[in-house]
Amino acid sequence: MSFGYQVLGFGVGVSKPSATVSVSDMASSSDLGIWAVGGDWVYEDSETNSQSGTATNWLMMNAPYNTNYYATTPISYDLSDHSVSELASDWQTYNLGGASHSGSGGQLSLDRSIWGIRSYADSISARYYFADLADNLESFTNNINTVTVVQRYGGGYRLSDTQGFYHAQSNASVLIGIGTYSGGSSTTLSATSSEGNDRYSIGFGKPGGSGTSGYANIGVANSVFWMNDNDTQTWNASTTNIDLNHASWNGSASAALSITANNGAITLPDHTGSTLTPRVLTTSWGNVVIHSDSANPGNAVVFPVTWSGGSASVGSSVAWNGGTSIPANECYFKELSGVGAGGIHHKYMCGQDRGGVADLYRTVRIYASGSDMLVDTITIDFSSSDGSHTVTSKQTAVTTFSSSSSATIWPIFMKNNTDLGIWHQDTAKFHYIENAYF
Amino acid sequence: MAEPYDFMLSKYIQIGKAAEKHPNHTLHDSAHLAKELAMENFGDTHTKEEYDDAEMECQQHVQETYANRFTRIDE
Repeated sequence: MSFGYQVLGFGVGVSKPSATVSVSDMASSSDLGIWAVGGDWVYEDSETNSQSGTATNWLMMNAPYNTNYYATTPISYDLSDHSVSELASDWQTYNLGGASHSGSGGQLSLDRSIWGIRSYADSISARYYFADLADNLESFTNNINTVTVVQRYGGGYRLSDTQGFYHAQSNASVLIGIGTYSGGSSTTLSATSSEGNDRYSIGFGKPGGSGTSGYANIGVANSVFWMNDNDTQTWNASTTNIDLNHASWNGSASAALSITANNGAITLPDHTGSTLTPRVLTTSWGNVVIHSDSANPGNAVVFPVTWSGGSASVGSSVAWNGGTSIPANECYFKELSGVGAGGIHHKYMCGQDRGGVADLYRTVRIYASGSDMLVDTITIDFSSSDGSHTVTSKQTAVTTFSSSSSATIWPIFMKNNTDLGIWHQDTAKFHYIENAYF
Repeated sequence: MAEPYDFMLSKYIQIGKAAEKHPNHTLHDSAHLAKELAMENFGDTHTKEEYDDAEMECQQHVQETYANRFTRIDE
């Protein structure tokens, strides 16, 4: 089922285009998120859809399988009539033996992904994989178990089209590693780091600045950084200290990571009553750390971060430009740079402008209205290296998550730079918004 | 094992219900905070591995039983 409606723009003479919204039933609210998106709706002209014989536009939905295993539902989306088709029955993505699988992973680019999965078999082993998909989207062609560690959890996370990292966290100890994968049966991995408390993370980012460029790829290759408080995984309403810990790799197989601690790099404003963790975005000049506050939304601030190797310099905080009318705690930032941040993810969760303006981010605001949740589309210009930025409202109340109080979404930012897809898990509906951005 | 698990599950659901109303929440954030509260409550009467196992089982329970839809879990 799909239905559409149009949100009218302003009158004649104003360049705001009308948004058209099509809402379709998609998958089930018991599914756990979109882990890959492919085809014409998202690929660059230079990229080939190896699955074109199966679907012009497709996505892979992470689904529970007999409650114990992870599965995938391959789904096609027809832009001509906004119809959704499940291409095949769920196929078992990971079965490590034993009951109860968990973990996370996601797309690097095209049909390639990184995963970290754990089961209760083998002393609760966590296994890390690079994998690519078959052309019929019904299995992996290659699924390379690169690392296995005991009594850990965590996941595999995207850094760029060809790189990801794995992070194995437990209360006992923590480790991290980086790898390169371009499909096929081989991959190049760093050495897994030694275990250390400075590896605890409440959020990851890719260092910005000079380095690779292009949509969902800007920043310094072979590197990742993460936030924690005094080398713990502690985060609560009284936490104000942020360490920025940085790992870099020379790209050679089995080479050790170089890890640099930047202790006490950031002191957040007090946020009593709010347990929201800061979020990180990558820019062409560095990074922004966005602190939001659900108890006192007016306290939201942005910290600019620049890098010299592994050493971070943090500038003075800047008040969130959206103020309390577009509060930061209602805006989506998770995985908005295309870097995995803590769950099932895919490349096109990256909201960076696809017209070449690297530091212009598109995203959404999601907020309660009665028993529903409403969605605005917004852009944020982070081009200033002092952290000053501009939040601009685009379409207001453009779509509605009816009878829901959940803000859990998986966005898909389309190739045309104007359209946005959103899968809202709680209602199991896919919203395709034409002219979400302009 | 039931002791930290039951406490942690209650906190995980309570924290998750509030967090899910905000678009940037992660399951890990909520689970870690629940574990931290359990460790504050029970201290070293349990090992780190036991707290880890309880955290994993809490996440598994909410995923399998509620598909992580915290806002649909009854008070």
